[in-house]
Amino acid sequence: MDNTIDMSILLEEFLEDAAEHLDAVESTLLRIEKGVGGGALDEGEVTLVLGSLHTLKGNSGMMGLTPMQQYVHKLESVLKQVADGTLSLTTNLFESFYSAINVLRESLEKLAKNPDEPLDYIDELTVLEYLISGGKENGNGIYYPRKNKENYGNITQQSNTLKVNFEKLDDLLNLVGELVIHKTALLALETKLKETVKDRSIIEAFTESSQLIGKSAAELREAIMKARMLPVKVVFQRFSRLVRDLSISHGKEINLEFEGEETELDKTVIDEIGEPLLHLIRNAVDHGIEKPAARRKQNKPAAGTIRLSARHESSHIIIAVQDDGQGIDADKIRHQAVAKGLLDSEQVRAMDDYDAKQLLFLPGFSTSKEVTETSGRGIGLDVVKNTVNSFNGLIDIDSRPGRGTTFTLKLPLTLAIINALMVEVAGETFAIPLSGVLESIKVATHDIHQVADGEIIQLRERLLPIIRLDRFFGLGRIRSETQEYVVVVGSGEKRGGLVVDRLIGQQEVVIKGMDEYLGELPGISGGTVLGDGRVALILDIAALIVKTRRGGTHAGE
Amino acid sequence: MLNKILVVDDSALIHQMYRLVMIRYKCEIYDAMNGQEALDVLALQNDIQLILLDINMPVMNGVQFLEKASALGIARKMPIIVISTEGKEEDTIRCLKMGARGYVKKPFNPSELHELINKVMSGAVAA
Repeated sequence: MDNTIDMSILLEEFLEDAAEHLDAVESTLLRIEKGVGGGALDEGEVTLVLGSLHTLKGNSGMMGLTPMQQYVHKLESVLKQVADGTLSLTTNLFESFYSAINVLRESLEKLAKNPDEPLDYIDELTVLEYLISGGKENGNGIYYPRKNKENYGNITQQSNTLKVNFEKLDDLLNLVGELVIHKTALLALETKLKETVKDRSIIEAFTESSQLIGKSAAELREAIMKARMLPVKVVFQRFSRLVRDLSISHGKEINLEFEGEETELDKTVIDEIGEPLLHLIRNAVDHGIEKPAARRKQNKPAAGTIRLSARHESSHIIIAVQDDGQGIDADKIRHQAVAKGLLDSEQVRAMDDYDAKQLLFLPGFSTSKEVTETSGRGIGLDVVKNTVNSFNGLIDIDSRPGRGTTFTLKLPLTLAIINALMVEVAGETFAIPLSGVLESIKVATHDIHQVADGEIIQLRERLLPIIRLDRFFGLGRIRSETQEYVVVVGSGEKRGGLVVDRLIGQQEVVIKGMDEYLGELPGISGGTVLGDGRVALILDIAALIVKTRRGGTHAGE
Repeated sequence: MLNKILVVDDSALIHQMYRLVMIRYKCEIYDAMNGQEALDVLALQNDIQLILLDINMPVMNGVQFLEKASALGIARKMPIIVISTEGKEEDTIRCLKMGARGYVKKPFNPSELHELINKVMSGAVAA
């Protein structure tokens, strides 16, 4: 039994390690590929790749993954032939290496799911065999003048970073949370002491110590939040390979630039932005950047540029995806909107160009006539917008026809802590994410109207469906009021009203997810521990708004 | 003169490789990802001169394709070279018995394949 446990831990380590080596090989290859345009083949870079492959070969051998070991060995020998000049580094050879990385990554994924997955690289080896046969049909043989020969050694890269399991940081955050609870208990004690202890100097000393503890706890929490932050280039760099592959397959030349890639954000946000950025970049490659010939006609450089930038702005991070492609024609969008029946011609005429471009975020909107392989399949900007909104971000689009398009994302620095409006419902405390709160109002009971699918009130010129939180969560309510407090919340374009007993105030809360054994929790997105140790549930605004519309007045519906 | 050939293999990578391997023949290459697709291509193109046939494929593998093709009388007319792999010797032999003219084993050196193609196309039956 011990053996199996050891093996699975070993496998996990191997997989993580192997993934890193493949990443290193890939980024070095990309650099080599860029560099060879200048003529000389950088032996240092080749040695780096050989080192990674050598380690990967050894590790897979140790894990008993013989086919992988043999495949990597073959890759290593092919690269050695390149390094000593007996094999020329052609486009096809680069492709076969990139393809090898893909295949090996796939194998790692399969092994993660099934450690006994059979691996077979016969086809890849067949192609490699062809490439090293040095057939003259290559036609792409490029000879690179070599610099001085070097020894092959394993070069390990030094870094002053440490890999930490994210859970450990979460644990630290929990511990700080408990510290805060204990500190709050000290406050209550302080008051009692003031009543019983006569000696002022003792009370002052106590107060000072308790305040210092509070300050240390706050600083500790800030430091931990900082430790969870990673530079955004972790995400940006994933796209280098993608843009390269896509531009080749689309017959376009595209440079991917980064700006502000050292800007840091919380891991929780980093985990979320990869997907939306992926779609935006694919859009830029597919619809934005024109083919070299078309660009030259416009006096633009043949190679298009996509720039990913990141910067801080007050308590947000601003990420932009900018291309210098053909831009978006506001009129074209207006026509499309009418043609698709989304709006009528009067409405679109009333919109200014800026608003017209935001129409692209409507579901089912695509201005490209062909459904291409990369951006077809219904992954529209509406999905991107929903994803970004779902983690409290905003997305904006700006564009100049002929000059280019910029998508700007405004994201919170962290998803772990939010500002919340604390409310009381039937004696229980709930937290409403402040980002979704529009306003809070008092409503006379006789202004609440019953309709077929629920209750509504009139808010200025709109009708607002409301939901009574006490009823929704099955909490008994003792008082009957002549007036109600309603918190108006919004999610995307939708609005709703939450009926509460009273408003407590605003505060920052640390979000804790709910354990899985609790199952489905309609209307709840998480919980938080308050300063006095009590638990307050955090409301899921989007889910509750859906319930108001459907007239679900009870959480069970 | 080799003008049109059909490559049957489930790996897109291998198809790309064949494009390069066969450059010297300056022929048109039709692709099929499995035996079923190969039959479809043959139904539409009646002047295919050579088939390079992989054994391991989903939907319809190399052996099943040959069985169907034999029933339709195609194998007799058309030279077929089996591209086999380690461990598939029995299947390779079955294909040869059904009329395939020769085989190479993956991973193979392109010159092996070229030699075999030359032999097969010049009418000799390869071992």
